[in-house]
Amino acid sequence: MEITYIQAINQALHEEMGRDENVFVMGEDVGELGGAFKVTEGLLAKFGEERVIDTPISEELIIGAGIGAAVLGMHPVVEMQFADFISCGFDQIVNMAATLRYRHGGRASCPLVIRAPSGAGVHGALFHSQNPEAWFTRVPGLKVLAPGTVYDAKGMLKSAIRDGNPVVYFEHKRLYRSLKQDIPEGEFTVPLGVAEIRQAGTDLSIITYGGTLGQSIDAARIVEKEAGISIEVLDLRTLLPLDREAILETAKKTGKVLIVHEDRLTGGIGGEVAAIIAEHAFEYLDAPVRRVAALDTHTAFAPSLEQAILPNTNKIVDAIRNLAAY
Amino acid sequence: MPQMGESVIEGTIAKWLVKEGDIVTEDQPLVEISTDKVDTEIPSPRAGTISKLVAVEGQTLPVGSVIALIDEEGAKAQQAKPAAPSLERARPAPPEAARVAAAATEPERTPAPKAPVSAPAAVVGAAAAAATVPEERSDGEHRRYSPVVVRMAAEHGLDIARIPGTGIGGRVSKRDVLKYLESLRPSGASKTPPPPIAPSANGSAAAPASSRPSGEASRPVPTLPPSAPGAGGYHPPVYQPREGDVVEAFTRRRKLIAEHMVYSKTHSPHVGTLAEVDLTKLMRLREAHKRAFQEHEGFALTMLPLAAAATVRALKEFPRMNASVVGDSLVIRRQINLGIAMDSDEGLLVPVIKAAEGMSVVGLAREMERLRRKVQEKKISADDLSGGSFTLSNPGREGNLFGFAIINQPQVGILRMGEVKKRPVVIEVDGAEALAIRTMMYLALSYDHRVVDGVLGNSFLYRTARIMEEADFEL
Repeated sequence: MEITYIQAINQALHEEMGRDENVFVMGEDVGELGGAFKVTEGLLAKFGEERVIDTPISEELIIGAGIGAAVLGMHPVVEMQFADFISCGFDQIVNMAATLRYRHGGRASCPLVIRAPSGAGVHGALFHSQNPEAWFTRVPGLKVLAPGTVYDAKGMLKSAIRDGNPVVYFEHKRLYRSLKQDIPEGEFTVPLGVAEIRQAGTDLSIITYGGTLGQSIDAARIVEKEAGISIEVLDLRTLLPLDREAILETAKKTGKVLIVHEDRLTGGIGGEVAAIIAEHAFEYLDAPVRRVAALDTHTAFAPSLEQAILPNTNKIVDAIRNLAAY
Repeated sequence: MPQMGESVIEGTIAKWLVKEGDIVTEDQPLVEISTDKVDTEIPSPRAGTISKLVAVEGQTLPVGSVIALIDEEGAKAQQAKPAAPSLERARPAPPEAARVAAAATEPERTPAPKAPVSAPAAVVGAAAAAATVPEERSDGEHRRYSPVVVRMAAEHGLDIARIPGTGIGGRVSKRDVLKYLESLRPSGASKTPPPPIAPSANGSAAAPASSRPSGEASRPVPTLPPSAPGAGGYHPPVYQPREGDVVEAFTRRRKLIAEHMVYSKTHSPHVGTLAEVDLTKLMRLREAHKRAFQEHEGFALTMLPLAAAATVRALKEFPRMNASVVGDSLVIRRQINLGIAMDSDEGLLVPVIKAAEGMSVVGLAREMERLRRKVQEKKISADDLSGGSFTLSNPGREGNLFGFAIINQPQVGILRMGEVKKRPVVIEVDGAEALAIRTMMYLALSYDHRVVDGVLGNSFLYRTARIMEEADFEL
């Protein structure tokens, strides 16, 4: 069954709500409109307005209400219309949801999923292009996901809903309708905290996730053909907790690591990945760990500037060539 | 970097004897250079002002690299400096350029998509500058190695400076090390691996061939695969510092000796054989000529030239012992270049007596004395130390009973003299056995069983010992 990334998320919601009546969705325009991107299309008709709730425009309210419902045993899936506005609910996430289990000595939990459409490359300018995942990757108690394939978009959302912890699920807007994949018909989930090798190689590793996964694979294939080298692509998929074993394994295997993400360079998760490698795989390195990421600025509206600021396949190709030659 | 000898391709700046701004005269010592053979002071080729020390201490550069700039007219240099600052900067002064390049590669300082581009650009820039100033080679910039290269070199006992680099600007990459290791592997070994004879519990691998002494059986001695060092799981225990410990970093010479010894032991299966030599006649010969020799030559006649003469004579009878292993071939050398192991302040040196086959005992003694003085005065040249075809080692009075030396590659054998001592020995006098006090010595031969079989090794040592016993030398 070939479906798109957005259909995969929609399917996951349908299946989970059908499986467990405690699962419900909540957010701005998720009901009548079916979501700004139509992610929640069809849910209101199928599950009714008690389980598909349109809310006022307040991320703090949406997340706070979700936490309350979660504490009382529900499994809310709340939507940020754009991940850019998740910062409005920041306190609820990092101070409330993330600490809840700790504050109650493990006797209470917060099985809340926050869906956050993120990412640039869609001419969304400053308020509709952000990749705010790194704000959350240093908060204990949270899980942070960023699927880069159709299969993972579905399987990881289902795992998130069943996880029992607050999970921030970043879905990349650019992939919604551009990414298609043949996925199995029946029930499946994808384990959280486990990275996946998308293609095996021996000479250089690319570590990436989300919106830059496809670009990285494309770039790897281009350089592999022209230079006759073998490139491994590791998809992190879960950014918290990081799959340190997989990161170290690929770094040790090839000795040359390129980290690629659409999030900004400074403070991006790539810095942490590089530090893990420097600390634990130093003696295996044959070159400095390098990063391709968005420039340390806001995403511009002008297409030429947007291109200049964001990573893309050509920039990744250049970086691979240079690192391979090092 | 001056040419320090025919076979020398690079040198290391051991110590600068001048600093920038110093005025030097022609032939004034400028710098101490150490090569894999020898350390030497280099005199200034010109008089002038040291305008720049391009190379830093500890840096290894190929022969022909610029290590310093001398301005023959100091005053002009002072005026020229502000006039051409950009040229000065463009010059690939290795440590600075390397630092600049390092800063450029630091991704945090430059926006990400630019970073990978700017790094090679900096290196290419330096290389381009070097191209416009051809005498200023940029090789010195690439003497920093990645952690994996350093680790692999340590595990395999390699000198990274010898590994050809194919990375940006000639950098040595992990792939280059793997290729180099592959090239070290004797190709014959990979085609026909030695029969897997596992050493038995008592350590005697050749036990079944008990009619012959151990290790000399016609069966091949079990050889280690060339990749053995470091390939296995063993790592020495982690060093725990204790108060009072003294840590001495290897000098370049020490590293080369170490690398050579490990190479020799892993690549050539050594067989040790021992002969007992009655030196009574030889000592008598020496006693008889001692005084005249001292008066005539101005230095003492020792045992060593006599032993060397015996070795040379035996090598003439067994030319296959005067040989080198070159790749998959044995090269039998016509000329006998006898290496004599000597101790020096910086460690073991093996000066070579060239064309020893045509020398008398006196000739050998003179040449030995000449080399000994050069070692003592630290004037030994790289050419004095190269080209040996066989080696004789005499550890001297405190050399203990006997010992087996490691073969000086690519030679195929080495003789090592033991202590000379009077012992009661059974001898035959006019058909009757008698107990006598004789001057005795153990003479040990290590030979390379890849190319020398037991019959040859034994015959050669036996013959050398008999020649020493006969003491039939002209003096």
